[in-house]
Amino acid sequence: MWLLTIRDLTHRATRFVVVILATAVVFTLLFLMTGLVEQFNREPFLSVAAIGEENWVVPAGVSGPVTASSTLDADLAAQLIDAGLEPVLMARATLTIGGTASESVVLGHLPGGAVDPPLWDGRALAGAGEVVLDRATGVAVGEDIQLSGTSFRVVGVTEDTTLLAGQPIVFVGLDDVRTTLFGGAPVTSAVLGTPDVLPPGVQILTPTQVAEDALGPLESAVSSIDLIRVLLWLVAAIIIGAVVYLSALERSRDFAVMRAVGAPIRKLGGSLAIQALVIALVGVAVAAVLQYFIVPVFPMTVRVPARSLWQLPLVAVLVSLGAAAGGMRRVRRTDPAQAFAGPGA
Amino acid sequence: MSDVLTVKDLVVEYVSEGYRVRPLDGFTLTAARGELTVLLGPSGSGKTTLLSCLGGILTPTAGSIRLGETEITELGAEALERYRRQEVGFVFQAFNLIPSLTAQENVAIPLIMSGVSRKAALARAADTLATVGLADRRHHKPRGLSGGQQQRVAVARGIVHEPALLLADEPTANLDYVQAEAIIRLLRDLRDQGRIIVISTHDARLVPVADKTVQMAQDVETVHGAPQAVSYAAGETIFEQGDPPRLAYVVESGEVEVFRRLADGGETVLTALGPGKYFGELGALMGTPRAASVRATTDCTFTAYGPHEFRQEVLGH
Repeated sequence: MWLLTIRDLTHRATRFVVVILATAVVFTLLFLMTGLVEQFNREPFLSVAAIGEENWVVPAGVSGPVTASSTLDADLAAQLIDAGLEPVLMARATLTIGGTASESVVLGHLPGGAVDPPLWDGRALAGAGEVVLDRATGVAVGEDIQLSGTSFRVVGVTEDTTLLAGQPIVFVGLDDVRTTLFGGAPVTSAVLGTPDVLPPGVQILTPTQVAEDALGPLESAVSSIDLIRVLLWLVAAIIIGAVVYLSALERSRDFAVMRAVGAPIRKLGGSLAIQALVIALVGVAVAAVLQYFIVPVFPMTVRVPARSLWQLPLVAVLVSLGAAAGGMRRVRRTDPAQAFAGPGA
Repeated sequence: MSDVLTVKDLVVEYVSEGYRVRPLDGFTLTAARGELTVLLGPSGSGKTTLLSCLGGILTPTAGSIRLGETEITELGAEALERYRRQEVGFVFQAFNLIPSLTAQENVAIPLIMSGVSRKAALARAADTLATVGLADRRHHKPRGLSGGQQQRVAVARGIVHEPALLLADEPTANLDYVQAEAIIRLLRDLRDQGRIIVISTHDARLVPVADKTVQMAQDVETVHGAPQAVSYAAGETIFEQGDPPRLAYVVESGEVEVFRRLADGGETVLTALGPGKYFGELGALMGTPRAASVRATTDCTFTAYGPHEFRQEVLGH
């Protein structure tokens, strides 16, 4: 059957190339959507892990330090700090780089303390007026940026430290954040560590809980992308199914002749199924190459998981076989007596 | 290789647009190895239907088809596929070559379907193409071949697996006389090699090379002589759908209804005819079976004409 299949593919090469390109575009979108969802899902866990492995002590009833703007009672915070825990202050601020403003998540902490994100370049915070921030911002060590109108010098660059779908975390000295964003008030949104005795009015969140909380605002976006992924699979199935069915229609005389000379139906159906598989798998291969070039220039970080390189072809195989079912049904219903019809019949 | 093809009391009946049609009704034929049988007849006379039955493509309503010791009508679907792969070769009117395959690959297809390795199938296809004089065209696709060459490729495909029975449907229909002669010579040679060959055709050029000619159209008794006055009582049937045509009728008095019998046993009346109208003329002129039945709804008298007289005296030419 390979003879028939390959010959027909080459006989209708233009059409199949167009269809493979169309499915490749759909599969590329699927790679990108999968990469986006992967990034959304992993982003908070990577970022919280970069901040540190300590637990977070936050006011009771607060969902988490990323999604809730709350501060610890000053006396309570002082008590916990005295007990050896480390204060942090998390806030949203306008980050201006080269005249372009964007949203960022500011994390105020004590330089040289528990918060020590791995650096991609530069050094850790050492004093006032310094920031460390994510490389996704495009800044380099030594550049100046502004946080809500106040200038800071970039001394270090981190990687995979973003939250809320790509907003960079800006690591700043605690006092600088208080001065810049809170008028110098000694506010603390959480303390890192695990107290021996948990005072009333606070709760402990593990880093995993903090990350899960940070993922919350993106749940509807992830659901929407998942729905789009389902629709894209449907589009791929329709494209493959349509071309295979069209092929079965056009070749109905050929199939009638084959059946007349005794070709088993399973072989003829198999020929169509192989065509569908070839379209799907070549489409996936082209898509894998396309996504390799598109991901770096995509406006958001896209993290195409390695597993998708085998999962997507596997699903594509199943989808293409399902899509080819219409064509195969057509072959099964082909009457070999059609072979006797005259020209043009 | 099977020696004799025996067809006995073959009936094929099907329902078309609600009407029961019987293209073959009690057909009988015997053909031996080395015999070329030509089925001659107009369109609709059941030639292709018979080939379909002989080839195991169509299951007849009744009757027997036996190739050697095998009763074809009793074979199941898989056995029929095997029968077609091993015992039958087909040559179709429209050549029906697969356009994406070369001539050699087209010829190899029946062998590949039978499980012969691709290499061996292509080798045997090349040999077979050489026997039909197309060794130098084996790498050409159908669009690069003339009609005659395509038909020779089709013949090669039909014989590559050395079937006992070769069925050819209008093999010269789309060919000019030069190409047709080449095909006729080829079929004659294949007959001489000891195959049973059955050809359906309109082409009378095939008749002289046939060992047996079967007229598929119903024998029509040609009626000549003066028109006759005939009368029928109310309720009597003048003729039935499917009857052989003989006469055309002009209604002199009374009324008839033209109707068709439906597959479910009912009837549908097509029209009613009174004095001065005529019926049955098309079947009589063309020699085709009656397409409808006619019944007297009152006592009637008609003038009955043979086709020749009807044309002269009623139609005036």
